[in-house]
Amino acid sequence: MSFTSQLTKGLVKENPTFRILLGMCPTLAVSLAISNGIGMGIAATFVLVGSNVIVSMLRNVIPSKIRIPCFIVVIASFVTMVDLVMAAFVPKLHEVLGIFIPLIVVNCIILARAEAFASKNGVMYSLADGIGMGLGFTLALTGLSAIRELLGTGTLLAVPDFGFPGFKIFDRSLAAVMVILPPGGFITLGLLIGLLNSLTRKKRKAHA
Amino acid sequence: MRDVLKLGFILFAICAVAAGALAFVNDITEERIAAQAAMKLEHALESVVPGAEEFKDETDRVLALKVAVADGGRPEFPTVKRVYAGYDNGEMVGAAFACAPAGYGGPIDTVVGVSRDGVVTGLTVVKHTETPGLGANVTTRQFQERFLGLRAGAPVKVTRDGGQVEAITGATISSRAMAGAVDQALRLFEFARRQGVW
Repeated sequence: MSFTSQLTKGLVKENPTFRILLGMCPTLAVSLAISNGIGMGIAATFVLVGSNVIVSMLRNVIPSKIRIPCFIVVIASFVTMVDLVMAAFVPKLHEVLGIFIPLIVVNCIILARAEAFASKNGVMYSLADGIGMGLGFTLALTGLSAIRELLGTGTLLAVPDFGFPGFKIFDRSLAAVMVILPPGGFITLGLLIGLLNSLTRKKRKAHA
Repeated sequence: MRDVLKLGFILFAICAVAAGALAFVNDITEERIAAQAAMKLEHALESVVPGAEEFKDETDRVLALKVAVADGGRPEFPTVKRVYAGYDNGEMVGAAFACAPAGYGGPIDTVVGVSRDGVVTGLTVVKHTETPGLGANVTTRQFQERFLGLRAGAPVKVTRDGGQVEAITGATISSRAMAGAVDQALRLFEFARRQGVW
């Protein structure tokens, strides 16, 4: 176990979205545009790193019987503080990321990492785990959003909050609106997980 | 039993520390957040009522009217939350109506500007939770421009409801909400003017 391996495992091998299948609710809800995917990813990474570090520091203080309520208090407080501080000091960024912040509280990746990793490992490893898992989540969200944004609206990289309409790839009238609606989210996610599974299975066979 | 007390105490201590930390953060950010919100509202008002130097909150005056004519089947304006009148050198040049019509994903906080002679001069969305890529397009200039120049008289509706405003593709509910906000703003303006408020 090394710092680097803790950092990189979240990207592909233990990707929170495609491998551990956690945080599906915010994943499906926000993966409509690349800008959303990146925004949610950054906000979640921030909270994940913070909560991992705090939980890891408190791991010897918190009795195992009441660990879950303790983790939830830590995570919810951290999310609220991030929300308030961003609203006060970086209002522009808060306008863009603001809608994702309340969603982070219900993101079970954060709780899962606190429970499965940070409560059993040191601060440095927990930090690496938080960064890696956060980046993996961001990566997965961005990939999923790119597919849904392209097929569902015909444009890429639209950022309505900055008034940027995005790059038009094909006409909107040809776009399949269903892809950015909830059913399209489930289908796209399912296909991506299937694709990733078949790729890794092939790789494993080649190794054997 | 002892265990319960001990666990309870630890949980209490953690919650107390968290509450203290939150109170501290709230204390140092509260004022700045309120100032940001006030500034945002100010910008919104200025953008929808061109030419106004200062704005006065006249919600109480305008909404009190409804009670005064209660017997004569008073008009209802449920989505209008606040009314601001814009003045230039003491002369009233227009009014801005802060509305919160129900969209697809919750209320859409909108400010509708109406000029002195009852024409829509501007429209802006302050806060919303519509679907990105669909309903969220209510924030685009392209959509908001469809309301400019409308005047009181004919009800404001989307084309599907037999009105004059083209809805956003795939977001009829959000578009309908915005049309409703403009409609109520215009009607309230007309009503207030006839009652001699302005």
